[in-house]
Amino acid sequence: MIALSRQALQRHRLPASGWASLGLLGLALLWPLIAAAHVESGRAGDGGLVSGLMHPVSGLDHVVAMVAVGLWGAQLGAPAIWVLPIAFPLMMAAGGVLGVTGVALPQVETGIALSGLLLGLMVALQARPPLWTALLLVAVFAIFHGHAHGTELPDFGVPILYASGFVAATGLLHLCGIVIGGANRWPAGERLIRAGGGLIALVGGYFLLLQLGAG
Amino acid sequence: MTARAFTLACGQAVFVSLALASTMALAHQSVTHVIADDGGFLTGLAQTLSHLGYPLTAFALGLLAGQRGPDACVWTLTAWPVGLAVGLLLRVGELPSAALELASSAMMVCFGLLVALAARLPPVVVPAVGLCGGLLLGAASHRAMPLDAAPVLFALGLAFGGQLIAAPASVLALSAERTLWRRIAVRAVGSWIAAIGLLVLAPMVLAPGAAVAG
Repeated sequence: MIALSRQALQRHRLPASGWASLGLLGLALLWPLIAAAHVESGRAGDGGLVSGLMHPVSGLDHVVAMVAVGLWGAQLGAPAIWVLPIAFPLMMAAGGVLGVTGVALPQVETGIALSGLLLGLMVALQARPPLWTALLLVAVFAIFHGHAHGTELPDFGVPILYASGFVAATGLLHLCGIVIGGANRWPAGERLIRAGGGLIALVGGYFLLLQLGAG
Repeated sequence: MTARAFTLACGQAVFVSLALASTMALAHQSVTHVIADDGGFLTGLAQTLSHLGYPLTAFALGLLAGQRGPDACVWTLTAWPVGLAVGLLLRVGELPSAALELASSAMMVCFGLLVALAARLPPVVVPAVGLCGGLLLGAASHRAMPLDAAPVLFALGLAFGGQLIAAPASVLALSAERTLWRRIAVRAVGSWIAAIGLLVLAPMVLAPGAAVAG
Protein backbone atom coordinates (compact mmCIF):
# COMPACT_ATOMS: atom_id res chain seq x y z
CA MET A 1 0.00 0.00 0.00
CA ILE A 2 2.99 2.26 0.57
CA ALA A 3 3.90 1.70 -3.05
CA LEU A 4 1.24 4.14 -4.27
CA SER A 5 3.27 6.74 -6.11
CA ARG A 6 2.73 10.44 -6.58
CA GLN A 7 2.10 9.73 -10.28
CA ALA A 8 -0.63 7.29 -9.38
CA LEU A 9 -2.27 9.89 -7.20
CA GLN A 10 -2.06 12.54 -9.89
CA ARG A 11 -3.58 10.17 -12.46
CA HIS A 12 -6.51 9.79 -10.13
CA ARG A 13 -7.00 13.48 -9.44
CA LEU A 14 -10.36 13.93 -7.76
CA PRO A 15 -13.09 14.65 -10.36
CA ALA A 16 -16.50 16.18 -9.63
CA SER A 17 -18.02 12.72 -9.22
CA GLY A 18 -15.34 11.96 -6.65
CA TRP A 19 -16.34 14.93 -4.55
CA ALA A 20 -19.96 13.89 -4.87
CA SER A 21 -19.08 10.42 -3.63
CA LEU A 22 -17.12 11.82 -0.72
CA GLY A 23 -20.10 13.99 0.21
CA LEU A 24 -22.42 10.99 -0.03
CA LEU A 25 -20.07 8.95 2.14
CA GLY A 26 -20.03 11.70 4.76
CA LEU A 27 -23.79 12.03 4.69
CA ALA A 28 -24.21 8.29 5.00
CA LEU A 29 -21.97 8.28 8.04
CA LEU A 30 -23.76 11.20 9.62
CA TRP A 31 -27.19 9.69 9.03
CA PRO A 32 -27.01 7.16 11.90
CA LEU A 33 -25.43 9.83 14.13
CA ILE A 34 -28.39 12.12 13.58
CA ALA A 35 -30.84 9.30 14.20
CA ALA A 36 -29.06 8.22 17.35
CA ALA A 37 -28.89 11.80 18.57
CA HIS A 38 -32.68 11.95 18.44
CA VAL A 39 -33.17 8.60 20.14
CA GLU A 40 -30.77 9.25 23.00
CA SER A 41 -31.16 12.99 23.36
CA GLY A 42 -33.05 12.61 26.57
CA ARG A 43 -30.11 11.21 28.46
CA ALA A 44 -27.78 14.19 28.61
CA GLY A 45 -28.68 17.07 26.36
CA ASP A 46 -27.08 16.16 23.04
CA GLY A 47 -25.50 13.10 24.65
CA GLY A 48 -22.08 14.59 23.88
CA LEU A 49 -22.18 14.61 20.07
CA VAL A 50 -22.16 18.39 19.69
CA SER A 51 -19.66 18.74 22.53
CA GLY A 52 -17.43 16.21 20.81
CA LEU A 53 -17.75 18.03 17.49
CA MET A 54 -16.98 21.36 19.12
CA HIS A 55 -14.06 20.25 21.29
CA PRO A 56 -11.39 20.10 18.55
CA VAL A 57 -12.58 23.37 16.97
CA SER A 58 -13.06 25.30 20.20
CA GLY A 59 -9.31 25.64 20.85
CA LEU A 60 -7.10 27.43 18.34
CA ASP A 61 -4.13 25.28 19.39
CA HIS A 62 -6.04 22.12 18.36
CA VAL A 63 -7.33 23.64 15.13
CA VAL A 64 -3.99 24.85 13.78
CA ALA A 65 -2.27 21.54 14.56
CA MET A 66 -4.99 19.50 12.81
CA VAL A 67 -4.95 21.74 9.74
CA ALA A 68 -1.13 21.57 9.73
CA VAL A 69 -1.30 17.75 9.55
CA GLY A 70 -3.45 18.02 6.42
CA LEU A 71 -1.26 20.75 4.88
CA TRP A 72 1.93 18.79 5.54
CA GLY A 73 0.39 15.62 4.12
CA ALA A 74 -0.58 17.54 0.98
CA GLN A 75 2.96 18.93 0.68
CA LEU A 76 4.53 15.50 1.12
CA GLY A 77 2.16 13.90 -1.41
CA ALA A 78 1.46 10.18 -1.61
CA PRO A 79 1.59 8.11 0.48
CA ALA A 80 1.85 10.62 3.38
CA ILE A 81 -1.25 12.51 2.21
CA TRP A 82 -3.41 9.55 3.21
CA VAL A 83 -1.21 7.69 5.70
CA LEU A 84 -1.09 10.65 8.12
CA PRO A 85 -4.87 11.31 8.26
CA ILE A 86 -5.58 7.57 8.60
CA ALA A 87 -2.99 7.02 11.33
CA PHE A 88 -3.81 10.18 13.29
CA PRO A 89 -7.33 9.17 14.51
CA LEU A 90 -6.05 5.77 15.64
CA MET A 91 -3.16 7.24 17.62
CA MET A 92 -5.45 9.96 18.93
CA ALA A 93 -7.81 7.24 20.17
CA ALA A 94 -4.87 5.56 21.92
CA GLY A 95 -4.17 8.88 23.65
CA GLY A 96 -7.87 9.21 24.44
CA VAL A 97 -7.83 5.79 26.10
CA LEU A 98 -4.99 6.97 28.35
CA GLY A 99 -7.07 10.03 29.26
CA VAL A 100 -10.26 8.08 29.93
CA THR A 101 -8.54 5.47 32.05
CA GLY A 102 -6.84 8.15 34.13
CA VAL A 103 -3.28 7.51 33.00
CA ALA A 104 -1.49 10.80 33.53
CA LEU A 105 0.56 12.19 30.67
CA PRO A 106 3.07 14.90 31.56
CA GLN A 107 2.78 18.36 29.96
CA VAL A 108 -0.24 17.59 27.74
CA GLU A 109 -0.99 21.24 26.95
CA THR A 110 2.69 21.92 26.27
CA GLY A 111 2.75 18.96 23.89
CA ILE A 112 -0.29 20.31 22.05
CA ALA A 113 1.27 23.76 21.73
CA LEU A 114 4.53 22.17 20.58
CA SER A 115 2.60 20.22 17.92
CA GLY A 116 1.35 23.49 16.41
CA LEU A 117 4.83 24.99 16.48
CA LEU A 118 6.68 22.01 14.98
CA LEU A 119 4.05 20.98 12.43
CA GLY A 120 3.75 24.64 11.34
CA LEU A 121 7.51 24.80 10.92
CA MET A 122 7.45 21.59 8.85
CA VAL A 123 4.92 23.19 6.53
CA ALA A 124 6.74 26.55 6.41
CA LEU A 125 10.09 24.91 5.65
CA GLN A 126 8.46 22.37 3.32
CA ALA A 127 10.36 19.69 5.21
CA ARG A 128 10.48 16.28 3.53
CA PRO A 129 11.63 13.74 6.11
CA PRO A 130 11.23 9.97 5.51
CA LEU A 131 7.66 8.76 5.87
CA TRP A 132 8.33 6.92 9.14
CA THR A 133 9.74 10.11 10.70
CA ALA A 134 6.70 12.15 9.69
CA LEU A 135 4.43 9.36 10.92
CA LEU A 136 6.24 9.13 14.26
CA LEU A 137 6.09 12.90 14.80
CA VAL A 138 2.38 13.08 13.99
CA ALA A 139 1.61 9.96 16.07
CA VAL A 140 3.32 11.35 19.17
CA PHE A 141 1.39 14.62 18.90
CA ALA A 142 -1.85 12.71 18.21
CA ILE A 143 -1.48 11.02 21.60
CA PHE A 144 -1.31 14.43 23.34
CA HIS A 145 -4.37 15.71 21.47
CA GLY A 146 -6.26 12.46 22.16
CA HIS A 147 -5.39 12.60 25.86
CA ALA A 148 -6.84 16.10 26.13
CA HIS A 149 -10.09 14.96 24.46
CA GLY A 150 -10.21 11.68 26.37
CA THR A 151 -10.05 13.20 29.84
CA GLU A 152 -13.44 14.83 29.15
CA LEU A 153 -15.04 11.63 27.84
CA PRO A 154 -16.48 10.26 31.10
CA ASP A 155 -18.31 13.54 31.77
CA PHE A 156 -20.81 12.92 28.98
CA GLY A 157 -23.94 10.77 29.13
CA VAL A 158 -23.16 8.84 25.95
CA PRO A 159 -19.39 8.57 25.43
CA ILE A 160 -19.78 6.98 21.99
CA LEU A 161 -21.49 10.16 20.76
CA TYR A 162 -18.75 12.39 22.21
CA ALA A 163 -16.07 10.12 20.69
CA SER A 164 -17.83 10.15 17.31
CA GLY A 165 -18.05 13.94 17.43
CA PHE A 166 -14.43 14.62 18.15
CA VAL A 167 -13.08 11.96 15.78
CA ALA A 168 -15.26 13.32 12.95
CA ALA A 169 -14.32 16.95 13.71
CA THR A 170 -10.62 16.06 13.77
CA GLY A 171 -10.91 14.20 10.46
CA LEU A 172 -12.73 17.12 8.87
CA LEU A 173 -10.01 19.53 10.03
CA HIS A 174 -7.44 17.25 8.35
CA LEU A 175 -9.56 17.31 5.23
CA CYS A 176 -9.58 21.13 5.34
CA GLY A 177 -5.78 21.07 5.47
CA ILE A 178 -5.58 18.61 2.57
CA VAL A 179 -7.99 20.63 0.43
CA ILE A 180 -6.12 23.90 1.13
CA GLY A 181 -2.87 22.02 0.49
CA GLY A 182 -4.17 21.23 -3.00
CA ALA A 183 -3.06 24.78 -3.91
CA ASN A 184 0.50 23.48 -3.60
CA ARG A 185 0.55 22.69 -7.32
CA TRP A 186 0.77 26.40 -8.22
CA PRO A 187 3.85 28.47 -7.28
CA ALA A 188 1.73 31.20 -5.67
CA GLY A 189 -0.27 28.59 -3.78
CA GLU A 190 2.92 26.92 -2.59
CA ARG A 191 4.18 30.24 -1.16
CA LEU A 192 0.81 30.89 0.45
CA ILE A 193 0.80 27.47 2.12
CA ARG A 194 4.32 27.98 3.43
CA ALA A 195 3.25 31.36 4.80
CA GLY A 196 0.26 29.63 6.41
CA GLY A 197 2.66 27.14 7.97
CA GLY A 198 4.65 30.04 9.39
CA LEU A 199 1.47 31.51 10.84
CA ILE A 200 0.58 28.16 12.41
CA ALA A 201 4.07 27.96 13.91
CA LEU A 202 3.60 31.44 15.40
CA VAL A 203 0.26 30.44 16.95
CA GLY A 204 1.85 27.28 18.33
CA GLY A 205 4.75 29.31 19.67
CA TYR A 206 2.35 31.73 21.35
CA PHE A 207 0.54 28.89 23.12
CA LEU A 208 3.87 27.32 24.06
CA LEU A 209 5.00 30.59 25.65
CA LEU A 210 1.68 30.78 27.54
CA GLN A 211 2.24 27.26 28.85
CA LEU A 212 5.82 27.90 29.84
CA GLY A 213 4.77 31.16 31.50
CA ALA A 214 2.00 29.39 33.40
CA GLY A 215 4.38 26.63 34.43
CA MET B 1 -19.44 -1.94 -12.28
CA THR B 2 -20.63 -5.44 -13.10
CA ALA B 3 -24.27 -6.35 -13.70
CA ARG B 4 -24.39 -8.03 -10.31
CA ALA B 5 -23.04 -4.93 -8.61
CA PHE B 6 -25.56 -2.80 -10.45
CA THR B 7 -28.39 -5.03 -9.27
CA LEU B 8 -27.02 -4.77 -5.77
CA ALA B 9 -26.94 -0.98 -6.05
CA CYS B 10 -30.59 -0.86 -7.13
CA GLY B 11 -31.58 -3.06 -4.21
CA GLN B 12 -29.68 -0.83 -1.85
CA ALA B 13 -31.42 2.28 -3.13
CA VAL B 14 -34.71 0.61 -2.22
CA PHE B 15 -33.30 -0.30 1.20
CA VAL B 16 -32.31 3.32 1.89
CA SER B 17 -35.75 4.59 0.90
CA LEU B 18 -37.39 2.06 3.18
CA ALA B 19 -35.02 2.92 6.00
CA LEU B 20 -35.78 6.62 5.82
CA ALA B 21 -39.50 5.96 5.60
CA SER B 22 -39.40 3.70 8.66
CA THR B 23 -37.44 6.21 10.71
CA MET B 24 -39.90 8.97 9.91
CA ALA B 25 -42.87 6.80 10.76
CA LEU B 26 -41.39 5.79 14.10
CA ALA B 27 -40.87 9.41 15.08
CA HIS B 28 -44.62 9.88 15.26
CA GLN B 29 -45.57 6.77 17.17
CA SER B 30 -44.97 5.58 20.69
CA VAL B 31 -43.10 2.30 21.10
CA THR B 32 -46.12 0.56 22.65
CA HIS B 33 -48.31 1.63 19.75
CA VAL B 34 -45.77 0.29 17.29
CA ILE B 35 -45.60 -3.07 19.07
CA ALA B 36 -49.39 -3.29 19.11
CA ASP B 37 -49.40 -2.62 15.38
CA ASP B 38 -46.65 -4.87 14.13
CA GLY B 39 -45.84 -7.34 16.89
CA GLY B 40 -42.28 -6.06 17.33
CA PHE B 41 -40.92 -5.74 13.77
CA LEU B 42 -40.52 -1.95 13.87
CA THR B 43 -39.20 -2.10 17.43
CA GLY B 44 -36.51 -4.50 16.22
CA LEU B 45 -35.81 -2.17 13.32
CA ALA B 46 -35.61 0.84 15.65
CA GLN B 47 -33.25 -1.09 17.91
CA THR B 48 -30.56 -0.85 15.21
CA LEU B 49 -30.73 2.95 15.48
CA SER B 50 -31.14 3.21 19.24
CA HIS B 51 -27.48 2.59 19.98
CA LEU B 52 -24.80 4.14 17.79
CA GLY B 53 -22.69 0.99 18.05
CA TYR B 54 -25.13 -0.86 15.75
CA PRO B 55 -25.02 1.46 12.73
CA LEU B 56 -21.28 2.05 12.98
CA THR B 57 -20.60 -1.70 13.19
CA ALA B 58 -22.92 -2.44 10.28
CA PHE B 59 -21.45 0.44 8.28
CA ALA B 60 -17.89 -0.80 8.84
CA LEU B 61 -18.87 -4.35 7.86
CA GLY B 62 -20.50 -3.02 4.67
CA LEU B 63 -17.34 -1.08 3.80
CA LEU B 64 -15.22 -4.17 4.46
CA ALA B 65 -17.41 -6.28 2.18
CA GLY B 66 -17.37 -3.58 -0.52
CA GLN B 67 -13.58 -3.49 -0.46
CA ARG B 68 -13.47 -7.23 -1.20
CA GLY B 69 -15.71 -7.07 -4.27
CA PRO B 70 -19.27 -7.93 -5.39
CA ASP B 71 -19.15 -11.60 -4.40
CA ALA B 72 -18.08 -10.80 -0.85
CA CYS B 73 -20.85 -8.16 -0.73
CA VAL B 74 -23.57 -10.57 -1.76
CA TRP B 75 -22.53 -13.23 0.74
CA THR B 76 -21.85 -10.80 3.58
CA LEU B 77 -25.18 -9.05 3.09
CA THR B 78 -26.80 -12.46 3.33
CA ALA B 79 -24.81 -13.77 6.30
CA TRP B 80 -24.98 -10.58 8.44
CA PRO B 81 -28.80 -10.28 8.80
CA VAL B 82 -29.16 -14.04 9.15
CA GLY B 83 -26.60 -13.95 11.96
CA LEU B 84 -28.43 -11.10 13.70
CA ALA B 85 -31.80 -12.89 13.58
CA VAL B 86 -30.49 -16.34 14.49
CA GLY B 87 -28.28 -14.92 17.25
CA LEU B 88 -31.28 -13.24 18.83
CA LEU B 89 -33.50 -16.30 18.55
CA LEU B 90 -30.88 -18.83 19.69
CA ARG B 91 -29.63 -16.77 22.61
CA VAL B 92 -27.68 -19.03 24.94
CA GLY B 93 -27.65 -18.13 28.65
CA GLU B 94 -28.13 -14.70 30.19
CA LEU B 95 -25.64 -12.23 28.81
CA PRO B 96 -24.60 -9.26 31.01
CA SER B 97 -26.11 -5.86 30.22
CA ALA B 98 -22.76 -4.53 28.98
CA ALA B 99 -22.50 -7.33 26.39
CA LEU B 100 -24.08 -5.23 23.66
CA GLU B 101 -21.66 -2.32 24.13
CA LEU B 102 -18.70 -4.68 24.40
CA ALA B 103 -19.68 -6.66 21.31
CA SER B 104 -20.43 -3.64 19.12
CA SER B 105 -17.37 -1.63 20.12
CA ALA B 106 -15.05 -4.65 19.71
CA MET B 107 -16.46 -5.22 16.24
CA MET B 108 -16.09 -1.52 15.42
CA VAL B 109 -12.38 -1.76 16.26
CA CYS B 110 -11.89 -5.00 14.26
CA PHE B 111 -13.91 -4.04 11.18
CA GLY B 112 -12.64 -0.43 11.21
CA LEU B 113 -9.00 -1.52 11.36
CA LEU B 114 -9.51 -4.05 8.57
CA VAL B 115 -11.09 -1.30 6.42
CA ALA B 116 -8.32 1.21 7.27
CA LEU B 117 -5.64 -1.34 6.39
CA ALA B 118 -7.59 -2.43 3.27
CA ALA B 119 -6.81 -5.96 4.45
CA ARG B 120 -6.68 -8.44 1.58
CA LEU B 121 -8.81 -11.07 3.28
CA PRO B 122 -9.95 -14.10 1.26
CA PRO B 123 -13.49 -13.35 0.00
CA VAL B 124 -14.97 -16.14 2.12
CA VAL B 125 -13.63 -14.65 5.37
CA VAL B 126 -15.71 -11.47 5.26
CA PRO B 127 -19.11 -13.26 5.15
CA ALA B 128 -17.88 -15.60 7.90
CA VAL B 129 -16.88 -12.61 10.02
CA GLY B 130 -20.25 -11.00 9.26
CA LEU B 131 -22.09 -14.14 10.33
CA CYS B 132 -20.14 -14.44 13.59
CA GLY B 133 -20.54 -10.71 14.30
CA GLY B 134 -24.27 -10.93 13.57
CA LEU B 135 -24.69 -13.92 15.88
CA LEU B 136 -22.88 -12.10 18.68
CA LEU B 137 -24.71 -8.80 18.25
CA GLY B 138 -28.05 -10.58 17.85
CA ALA B 139 -27.53 -12.53 21.07
CA ALA B 140 -26.49 -9.37 22.88
CA SER B 141 -29.64 -7.60 21.66
CA HIS B 142 -31.99 -10.04 23.38
CA ARG B 143 -32.21 -7.86 26.49
CA ALA B 144 -33.60 -4.98 24.42
CA MET B 145 -36.59 -7.01 23.21
CA PRO B 146 -39.84 -5.92 24.90
CA LEU B 147 -41.68 -8.69 26.74
CA ASP B 148 -44.79 -8.37 24.60
CA ALA B 149 -42.95 -8.44 21.28
CA ALA B 150 -43.01 -11.53 19.09
CA PRO B 151 -39.39 -12.80 19.02
CA VAL B 152 -39.48 -13.77 15.35
CA LEU B 153 -40.83 -10.39 14.25
CA PHE B 154 -38.37 -8.52 16.49
CA ALA B 155 -35.53 -10.64 15.04
CA LEU B 156 -36.70 -9.88 11.51
CA GLY B 157 -36.80 -6.16 12.30
CA LEU B 158 -33.31 -6.32 13.77
CA ALA B 159 -31.98 -8.19 10.74
CA PHE B 160 -33.67 -5.81 8.31
CA GLY B 161 -32.29 -2.79 10.17
CA GLY B 162 -28.77 -4.22 10.08
CA GLN B 163 -29.13 -4.83 6.37
CA LEU B 164 -30.39 -1.29 5.74
CA ILE B 165 -27.12 0.15 7.03
CA ALA B 166 -24.63 -2.43 5.75
CA ALA B 167 -26.01 -2.51 2.20
CA PRO B 168 -25.50 1.18 1.25
CA ALA B 169 -22.06 1.10 2.87
CA SER B 170 -21.05 -1.86 0.73
CA VAL B 171 -22.22 -0.08 -2.43
CA LEU B 172 -20.22 3.02 -1.47
CA ALA B 173 -17.08 0.96 -0.93
CA LEU B 174 -17.72 -1.07 -4.07
CA SER B 175 -18.03 2.04 -6.22
CA ALA B 176 -15.04 3.60 -4.45
CA GLU B 177 -12.78 0.83 -5.72
CA ARG B 178 -12.70 2.55 -9.12
CA THR B 179 -10.65 5.57 -8.02
CA LEU B 180 -7.75 6.02 -5.66
CA TRP B 181 -9.17 9.03 -3.85
CA ARG B 182 -12.39 7.27 -3.01
CA ARG B 183 -10.52 4.22 -1.76
CA ILE B 184 -8.56 6.54 0.53
CA ALA B 185 -11.80 8.12 1.78
CA VAL B 186 -13.21 4.68 2.62
CA ARG B 187 -10.03 3.77 4.50
CA ALA B 188 -10.13 7.07 6.41
CA VAL B 189 -13.72 6.36 7.47
CA GLY B 190 -12.59 2.91 8.61
CA SER B 191 -9.90 4.49 10.79
CA TRP B 192 -12.51 6.86 12.28
CA ILE B 193 -14.80 3.94 13.16
CA ALA B 194 -11.91 1.97 14.68
CA ALA B 195 -10.89 5.03 16.72
CA ILE B 196 -14.45 5.52 18.03
CA GLY B 197 -14.70 1.82 18.90
CA LEU B 198 -11.38 1.90 20.71
CA LEU B 199 -12.46 4.92 22.76
CA VAL B 200 -15.60 3.09 23.88
CA LEU B 201 -14.11 -0.38 24.29
CA ALA B 202 -10.90 0.39 26.17
CA PRO B 203 -12.50 2.16 29.16
CA MET B 204 -15.01 -0.69 29.51
CA VAL B 205 -12.21 -3.25 29.63
CA LEU B 206 -9.50 -1.29 31.44
CA ALA B 207 -11.58 0.91 33.77
CA PRO B 208 -15.15 -0.44 33.96
CA GLY B 209 -16.28 2.32 36.31
CA ALA B 210 -14.87 5.18 34.24
CA ALA B 211 -17.39 5.40 31.43
CA VAL B 212 -20.99 4.61 30.71
CA ALA B 213 -21.17 3.47 27.13
CA GLY B 214 -24.14 4.55 25.09
